[in-house]
Amino acid sequence: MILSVRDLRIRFGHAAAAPFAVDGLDFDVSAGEIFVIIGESGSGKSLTGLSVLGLLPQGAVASGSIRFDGQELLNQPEAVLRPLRGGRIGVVYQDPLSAMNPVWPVGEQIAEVLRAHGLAGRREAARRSVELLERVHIPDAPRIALAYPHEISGGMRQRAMIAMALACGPRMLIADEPTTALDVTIKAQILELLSELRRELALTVVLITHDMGVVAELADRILVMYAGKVAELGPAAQIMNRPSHPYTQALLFSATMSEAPAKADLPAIRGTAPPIEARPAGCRFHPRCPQAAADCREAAPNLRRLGDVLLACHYPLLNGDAARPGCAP
Amino acid sequence: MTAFIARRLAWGVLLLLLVATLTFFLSRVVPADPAAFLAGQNTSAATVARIRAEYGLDRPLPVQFATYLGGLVRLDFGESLRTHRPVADDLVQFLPASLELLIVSFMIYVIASFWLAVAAARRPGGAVDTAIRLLTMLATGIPVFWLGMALQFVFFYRLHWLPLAGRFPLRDTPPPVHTGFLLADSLIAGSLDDVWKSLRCLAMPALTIVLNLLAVGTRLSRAALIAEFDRPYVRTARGKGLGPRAILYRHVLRNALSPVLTVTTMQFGYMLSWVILVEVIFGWPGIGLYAYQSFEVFDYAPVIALAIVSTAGFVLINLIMDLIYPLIDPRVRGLAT
Repeated sequence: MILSVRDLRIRFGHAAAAPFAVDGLDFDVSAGEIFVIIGESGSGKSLTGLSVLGLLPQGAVASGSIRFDGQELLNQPEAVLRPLRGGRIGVVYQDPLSAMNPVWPVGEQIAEVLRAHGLAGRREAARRSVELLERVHIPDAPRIALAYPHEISGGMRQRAMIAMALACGPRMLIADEPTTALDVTIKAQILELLSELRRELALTVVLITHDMGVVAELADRILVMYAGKVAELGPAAQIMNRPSHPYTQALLFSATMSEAPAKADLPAIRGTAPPIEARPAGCRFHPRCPQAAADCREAAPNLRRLGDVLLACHYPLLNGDAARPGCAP
Repeated sequence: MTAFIARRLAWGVLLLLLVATLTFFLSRVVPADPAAFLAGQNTSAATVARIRAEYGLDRPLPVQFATYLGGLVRLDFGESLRTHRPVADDLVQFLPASLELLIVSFMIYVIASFWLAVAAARRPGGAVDTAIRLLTMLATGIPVFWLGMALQFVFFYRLHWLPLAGRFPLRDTPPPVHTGFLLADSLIAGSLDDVWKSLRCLAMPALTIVLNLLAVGTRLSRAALIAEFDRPYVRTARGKGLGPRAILYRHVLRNALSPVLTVTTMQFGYMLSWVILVEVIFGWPGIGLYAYQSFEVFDYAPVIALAIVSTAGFVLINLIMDLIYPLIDPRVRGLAT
C-alpha cells in the first residue's frame, strides 16, 4: 500500500455541531495503480485529495490518519510536508489557467520546483524544464517554456501542469479534476497521457473526478463517494459493468446520457446532492434513491463486503440491473 | 509602443491646455486688482493705471489670454509681480526643493505602506493587523496642518531633535549648487555632514506627508495581498513544496503589485497637493511656498504656473506607471500599443 487513509474526517471549524464534509473515510491505494475517486460536487472528494498534502483551505480541520509509504501525513508540520509536496507527491489541479502564476513563464514555473527541492541549479533547472515539457509531448518545448500561461492553449497548460508535478520524479500523482476545464478531445489526450505516464514511470495516480466518462478506460479501482462517505469501492471493471450501489448506477447512467442527449427525458438522478448542513437521516442517498425502503430512511447502512466490492447499501443491485436504471424493486 | 506614448503625451498636452485655461480665467474672475495692490495705499489713480498698462492688465481678457498661451509655448510663464522676475526663472530655482521633498516622501511612502501591508496581510484580523490599522488610521485622521505643527512641537520644541523649518540650517553654508537637490549637491561636494543636515530638515515635512497618506496605501496594498493569497496559483505554489517566503516574494507580491500601482499613482496626486501645504507649514522654499506667497499678494502668474507644473507632473507619473504595468504583468503586454 503506497497510501492508506483511515477514518479521515474533515470539517470546517472546531465546533462540535459542525458537520463533517468528509465523514469517516477508509481506503488504500496500491503502488502503480490508477485509483479514481468519483462523486458529485460536495461529496468531499477534492477535500480528500487536498488533505493528503495538507493543502486544505483555511479553517478546515482534519482528523484520522493518512499514511504515505508508512509515513503519517495528516496534520504534520509544514517542514515535514514541504519536501513531499512536488517531491514524492505531485499535484495537478482543475483549471490550469488559474492554477498557474500569470506573471512567470511556464518553464520557469517548472524549473522552480526543481530548485525548491534542491535538485538543480538555475541553468540546469531551466534545461530540465524543457525536457519535462517534451516528456509530456509538448511540441516546440523550448519556445513553450518561455511562453506565459495565457499565451498557450488549455490542453498545453494542463500538460505543463503535469510536467510541473512530475519535475522531481514523484511516486504518486494526485490529479484533482484534471480534465474538467478542457473540451472533449483534449480531455481524452490528457487521460491518455496520465495512463502512459503511469505505465512508463510506474507512477501511482489518484484521479479525482465527477465524470464517469473519464474513468472508463483508465481506472484500476474506483471509490464512489456520496455526501462525505464511501458509497462503493472496488475494481473498476466490476463497478463499471455491474454497479451494486444505486448511486453508482445513476452516475453511470448520467455519463451515458450525456453522450446520448436523445434520452434526456429520463432523469438520471433525481434532485441534487444534499448540502452539508442538511443531510438526511438514515442512508444519505435515500431521498434520491429509486430503491429506497423504510429502513433506508432510518438506519445508515454499514460498509460491507460483497465479493470484491465494499458497499454501503441496504438493498444492493443484483447483476444486470445496471441496464435498467431508475426502476424501483 | 511609441504610438502609445505619443498618444498619451498628446492627451497630456490637451489636459495642460485645459488646466492653463481654467486657472487663467479663475484668476481673472477674482474681484481683486493686482495693480492696485502692487501700487500700495495712497497712490494716485494714474499710478495704478500705469502699472496696469505695464503688466498688460488693461488689455481685453482674450488678448491677455492669447498672450499668455503664446508665452507658455516658449515656456514663458509671465513675470511675477512680487519677485519682479520671470516666473520660469523662479520655478527653476524653487522646483528642485519641492521635487526633493516629493521624491523622498514618495519613496518613504511606497516602502512603508508596502511593508506595513505585508505585515498586516500575514494574519488578517490578528494583533499586528489591528495595530497597524489603528495607527495608520490615526495618522491619516489628523489634518495635515495640525499634524505638521504637532510634529514641530514634539521634535523641535520639546525634544530639540529636529530643526523647526527650512531646507538647511540657517547658520551653515549649503553646498555649492549643481542640481538644486540638496542631497545630491551635498554628495557631489563630498560632505556627508551636509547630507545629514539636509536629511534632518527633510524629516518632519516628509513624515507629515507620508503619515497623511499611509492609511489608504497600507489598507489597499493589504487588501490586494490578501486577495492574491486566495488565488489558486498560491495553492499550486504550496503544492510544489515552496515555503512561505518564496510564495510571498516570488508569487504573490508581483501579482499584487498592479492594483497597488494604480493606488500609488492616485496617491501621488494627493501628495502633490499636500506638498504645497507642508511647504507653507515648514517654510520649505519650494514652488508650493512660492505660489502661496504670490497668491497672498494677488500675483497670479506663479499660481497658474504651479497648477500647470503639477498637472504636468501628474501626467508624467501616470505615463510612467502605464509603462511599468506591462513589466509587471505579461498579460497586459501588447495591450498598450
